[in-house]
Amino acid sequence: MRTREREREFHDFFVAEHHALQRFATMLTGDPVRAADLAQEAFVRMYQRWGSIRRDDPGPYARRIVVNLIRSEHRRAKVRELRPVGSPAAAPDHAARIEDWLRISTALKILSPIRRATIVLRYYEDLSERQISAVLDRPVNTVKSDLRRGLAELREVLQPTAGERA
Amino acid sequence: MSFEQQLRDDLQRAGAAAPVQDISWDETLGRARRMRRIYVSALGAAAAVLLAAAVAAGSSLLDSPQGLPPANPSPSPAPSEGGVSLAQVEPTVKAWTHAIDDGRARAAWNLMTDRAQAEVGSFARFEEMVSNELAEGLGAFARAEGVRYATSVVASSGEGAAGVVTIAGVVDQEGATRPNAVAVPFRVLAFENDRALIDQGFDGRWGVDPVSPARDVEGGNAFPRGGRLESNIRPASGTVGALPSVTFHVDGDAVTLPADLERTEDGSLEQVRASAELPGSVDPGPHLLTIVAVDAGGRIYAHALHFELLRY
Repeated sequence: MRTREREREFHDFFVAEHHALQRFATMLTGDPVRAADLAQEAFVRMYQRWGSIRRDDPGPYARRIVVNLIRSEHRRAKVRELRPVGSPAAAPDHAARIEDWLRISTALKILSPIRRATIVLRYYEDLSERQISAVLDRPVNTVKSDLRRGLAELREVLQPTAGERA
Repeated sequence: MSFEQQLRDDLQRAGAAAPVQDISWDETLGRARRMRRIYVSALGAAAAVLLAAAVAAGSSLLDSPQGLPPANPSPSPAPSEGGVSLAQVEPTVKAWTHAIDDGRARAAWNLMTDRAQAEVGSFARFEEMVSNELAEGLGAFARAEGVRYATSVVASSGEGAAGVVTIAGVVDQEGATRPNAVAVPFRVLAFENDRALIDQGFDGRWGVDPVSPARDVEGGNAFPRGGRLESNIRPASGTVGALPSVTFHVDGDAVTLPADLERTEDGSLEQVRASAELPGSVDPGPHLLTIVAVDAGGRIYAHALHFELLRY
């Protein structure tokens, strides 16, 4: 594969995916600045193997790299204090949506990185249990167990709020 | 509205509201190009070392089906099983993973049994696999740090032996550097001077999923003393015909445990639950577990993982 063709294809993928990948990383970390770093690192690593991964759907592969990067950081730092999320530069009419994002990202922080990734892949990225198993390289039964336990943990945090809203 | 649906809606709204930055394409491409130059240089150096070793040994690693490519001596002593020498097993597995990592599909293909080749279907298909999933999954073990090999024999006779080689080490896969292990089925042909060949079929008739200790949980696979090893052996067809034979191997063949088998169901799919009690003779500390299933046709399916045996 010629370099020019490789870079053109890779550029198309970058343009199509970089916001979505950042949002995915933001959901996992709660930190948009770190999410941008993680997304860029994922693109850099994907480029090394672009010749082989381009034939499959590279989107799940990119998400797997992001999850693995977060897990590696987590192992190194064990419990890493996530940087407090400052108010993003949002227009006042976006305040409610931003509030939603802060509430959810705070709730997700109670989960371990792998369980958080499982929940986000299932309910945000809308992947099936089998697809999550492939992305995270974990047995389907483990994915099911993580989903069950992750939901139980989130329910404790989120359900009172849901009740209040209802 | 169910909690799951509520969560789905909340996550979708949160995702839409999450702030994003513009990542610089030029900066990303610049970093990617620099990384790729380093990566390609490292691959070239590794290939040169292997080629030099092959030339020194007077055989071609690249093309000969007979080419045994032990660029490095086997790290463990060469055992034998039922009069069959296993000396060529680990070097062959090592050569196979190196060939995959280097993208030398023909060399890797030539190290496989006829049956394994037939399961793949064609060399063209295998070539495609080498440049895709195999490079990341198996090839990464060629570059593993602190790599070690453990051989587990599941069958032997005067005509040969069959089993798996477990490769364990710290590998760089898909953006993460972490301890990992993989099990590679092999056969030894006594009538060809104990020649070893890879018997990895890639046919996916059966899947081997560890249940306890669970694979790759956060912080490692801690396992209590006196606990029960468990695995689900899943037929791709969803229907269990003849039961496979299943064994658990701890640290190669240091401890071999025949599994108790039970037919179970996962939703509408049938599967086999294999389990065995880990004996008290296994010392606390880190170990390698290899789960091996052999189906009625003699095909081998395996899965390997690290676990830490707790004191209590």
